[in-house]
Amino acid sequence: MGFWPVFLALLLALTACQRSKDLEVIPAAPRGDALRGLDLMAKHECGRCHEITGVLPAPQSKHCVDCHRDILAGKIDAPPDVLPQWRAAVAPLADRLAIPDAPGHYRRAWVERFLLDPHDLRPNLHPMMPRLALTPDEARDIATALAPADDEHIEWLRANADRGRALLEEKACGTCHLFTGVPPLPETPPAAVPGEAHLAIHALAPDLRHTRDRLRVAALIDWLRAPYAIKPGTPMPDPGLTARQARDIARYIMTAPLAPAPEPVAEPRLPVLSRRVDYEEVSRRVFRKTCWHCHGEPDYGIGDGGPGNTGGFGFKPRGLSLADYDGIASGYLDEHGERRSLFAAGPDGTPRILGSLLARREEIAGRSSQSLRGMPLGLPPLSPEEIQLVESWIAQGRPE
Amino acid sequence: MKRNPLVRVAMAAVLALPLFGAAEQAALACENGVQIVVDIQTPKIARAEKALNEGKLTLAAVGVLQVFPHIRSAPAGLGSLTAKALRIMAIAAVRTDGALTAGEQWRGVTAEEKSANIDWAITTLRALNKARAKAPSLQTDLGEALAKVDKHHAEALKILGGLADKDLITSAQGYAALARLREAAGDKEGTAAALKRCESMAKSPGVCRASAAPSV
Repeated sequence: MGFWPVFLALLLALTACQRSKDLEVIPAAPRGDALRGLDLMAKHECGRCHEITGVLPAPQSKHCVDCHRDILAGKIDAPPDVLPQWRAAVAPLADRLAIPDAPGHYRRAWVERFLLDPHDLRPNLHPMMPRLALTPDEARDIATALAPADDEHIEWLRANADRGRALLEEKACGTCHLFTGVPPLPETPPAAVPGEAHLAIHALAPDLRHTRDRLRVAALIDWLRAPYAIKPGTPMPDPGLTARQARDIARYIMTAPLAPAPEPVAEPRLPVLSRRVDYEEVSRRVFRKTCWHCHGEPDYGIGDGGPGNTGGFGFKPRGLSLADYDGIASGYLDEHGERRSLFAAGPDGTPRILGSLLARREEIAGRSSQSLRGMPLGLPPLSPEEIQLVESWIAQGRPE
Repeated sequence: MKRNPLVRVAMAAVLALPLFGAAEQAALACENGVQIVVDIQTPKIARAEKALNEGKLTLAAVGVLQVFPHIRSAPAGLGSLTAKALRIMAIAAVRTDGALTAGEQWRGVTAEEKSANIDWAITTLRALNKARAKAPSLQTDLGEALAKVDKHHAEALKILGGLADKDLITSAQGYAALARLREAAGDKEGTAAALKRCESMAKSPGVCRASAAPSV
């Protein structure tokens, strides 16, 4: 065999090898019923927080984000001593969290998993996606509605991950984004953005670790090149990238080796306090501070006691008010419409309400219970001190 | 944090005037027009409820009467704020053993007046329970009220005992009433259990150790 045929054969083999590294095929995840998915999004009131094509926004009295916007715009009357606290709390939650009207944006499998077991996508944002009462089939249907196009043929076109990393640093993406699992991205001092606006930008930036599961590559490249075209009004700035630069960054984000996610810190369970804990204290530090927003008193809310009381987000009315002592002592409605005590012991002897608080810790650690929904819904778990307070109050016989 | 719009269409307030006599004269100015006014009833009733929970029974009653001066004749199913007001008034009447006196509109001086106040409280709490089924707080209140009248003791014991079995008695006074009923029935163990719960819940030990209220 002559030199040239061998040479050409080797050259073709090398090219094919390189090309195979540049090509990836990701098959579509199993498909559900997209039309049913749209109905489910209406039923679960996704429009209270999200803008989604095909899903009506929630009415004004139930629209969470619009209420937050009204607070920030000074349209809600509130005592002057609490208004600054309200403003600080709602500033990161004044974005309508638009789901891009782009069929190929998300990966369906990730959406399905996220709906069933939400994880902390935006670590700088205090609240997170609540864990709704969805069956796996329902999650699949919603995922199909949000991600109808799912299979992907990726051509990297020699995108270079090392260049991508350098660009991430140059563009100071680390100012807003965490990227856990890779060497930390440097931050630069934020541009002069008014305090509340900066809070919002910083809070909404997702951890880039999840991007490879969450977005399709083409969608990421499109996003990097023109975020406003995909989501008008997004706080993501236009990084001013060429097509090649966008591919380089995308390749880094999608393929950089990731260190395993750190194990969640096991929070201690503090011993019951020996000093007296009365209702006023536990209400001020826990129930009214955290729980009341969803478990309110309907008689003072024009019949709306929040999703945890009169129902919402697809949850049945549970009749559970945590707004006052009577409400807590009145328990909740079970699946059969019968009243149950919040202090009834579970299989391990833990009072029901305490079990829910501890279950939230487990959810954050990736160990969601099928029998108990963690509380507070969509918020970080209560601190060990707050749980200790509730547990102490219960152990002392729930003093008024 | 709870969004509670502080606006009401004044026409609704004007229509309600003949029934209860709204306290604020500003609502009268709109004649047949529609005018947005600030709702001041809700925070007043909330303050009255707070006073009740603090044991300030007369203050609670005065607060209710400022908003609903004709509360004695208000139907239970009219609205949620009215229901709140009725409940506050009923509990205040029960816990004063009928001796609730608040201004010109409410008297509890003579034996007849006290008895009438207790009867009114029982009737009102029955109506509230009918309008809002499976509400342990209303059931507890009814049990506490029934325990004030000899002929209603059996019913009171049934209500409060049933709630206690499910750990759904919502007040120390409810457990105190249960303790008295069980004591009268000769149930020592049950009495001790109810007293123990009362003592762990009550802000003031006097709530649990009060002797049985004179039957009316």
